[in-house]
Amino acid sequence: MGGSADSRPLHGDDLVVAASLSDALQVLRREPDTEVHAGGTSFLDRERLQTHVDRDVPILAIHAVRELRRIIKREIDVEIGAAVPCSRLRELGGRVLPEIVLSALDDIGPPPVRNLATIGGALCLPTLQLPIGAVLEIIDARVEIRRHGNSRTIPITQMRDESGSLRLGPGEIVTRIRIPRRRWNRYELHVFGRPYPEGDPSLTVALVAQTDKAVLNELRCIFMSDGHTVIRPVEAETDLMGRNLPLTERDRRGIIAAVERDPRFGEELDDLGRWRASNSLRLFLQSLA
Amino acid sequence: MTIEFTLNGEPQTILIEADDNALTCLPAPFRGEGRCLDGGCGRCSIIVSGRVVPACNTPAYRLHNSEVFTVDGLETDRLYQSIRRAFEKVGLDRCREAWSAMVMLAYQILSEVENPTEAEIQRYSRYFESRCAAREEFDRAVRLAGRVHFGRRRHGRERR
Repeated sequence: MGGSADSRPLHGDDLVVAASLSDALQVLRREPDTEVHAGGTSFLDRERLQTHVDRDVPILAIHAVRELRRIIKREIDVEIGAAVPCSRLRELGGRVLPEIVLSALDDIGPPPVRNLATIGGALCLPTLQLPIGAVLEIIDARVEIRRHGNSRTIPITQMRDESGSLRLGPGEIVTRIRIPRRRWNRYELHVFGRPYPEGDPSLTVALVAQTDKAVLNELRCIFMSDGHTVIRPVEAETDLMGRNLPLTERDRRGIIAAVERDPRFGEELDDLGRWRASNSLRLFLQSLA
Repeated sequence: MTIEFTLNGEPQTILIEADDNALTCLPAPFRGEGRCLDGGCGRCSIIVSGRVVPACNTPAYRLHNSEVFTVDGLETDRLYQSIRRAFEKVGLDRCREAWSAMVMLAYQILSEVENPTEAEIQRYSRYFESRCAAREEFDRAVRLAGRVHFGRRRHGRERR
């Protein structure tokens, strides 16, 4: 039951289905406010549909752009086109992508939605970051951002401002995501609540560690509340590098206290959220023994 | 603008707006009963170019030049037949309301994983909510369908 994929592109006043990246960049040059759809799933929920009707901006669909549907496996990273569906990434398996990324892909939505939704689209929700964004942040993923005649590659952490809003300039699109292939032999991802659609309370806790025999080589943790507030105890993570395992009670308390000291931990998380965040970290640290 | 696609093998030419969803392109009998509009309930699932997608959450323009199948169009599909037989055997055919959602989910699982484990089925079905089918029944039906379909295929007696 195969299918022919968009052999004749669609063009209309309010919709362009781009056939190539240069077509897409040309459209964005002419109309920088164009709404870009990779999978096209997010704009169809009720609230966003209303937003689209109100704004009356044209749509640029990039799902058929060949350059953006490629996956390039390299020694140090995997380069993923922004229009690659999440289900295709899931099929790559743990030999190519870190397991925590695969786990975060499962949280993007129900399986049929993952056949449409793309990692590029998930990273570009205007005011909301999904768990996959938090996961890519702790494993140092980078994104390539293009506009007509210009291209830059930035760490994923720089995609959003302090309030969690997307920082893309007019006419810019995310074209590729580079995910390091570094092995994290221990990981945990907890997603409490529903991060999408916006407005529901949620907490994402992503934890990765690299251990070698009885030594903790590296530890990274991220806590994301409601898809906006991100807490990362970077200094405390660094302090634990090279420690022997199991970690001492003092070491464990130290990093948990560092998370709890962050003003946003008290302000943005409710009691249950704080308890979940602290305990997820505590249990993960204990499991490193 | 006008899009062209085949629906259950029949050519269709439909005028759409840029922000229409695929549900609006399906004739009433094929639309399914789902109205969650976020792809969660799975009742409006359709197959577009070989992949199961929720019609409510699929932009209409994505159907252009594609082969589209609803659950009604799968009658002659061997995998569907195996799924239907397994569902009947396990007793999952009682609920007509969630029938298309369960069948399409099973179809997606077995299209992607030939011999799914219990954990894999649960990974796929954790979003699926049904008041008429227990999770164990669904798991059993999917595994049975997989065994029936791929077991036969391996022996060259049946082909998808």
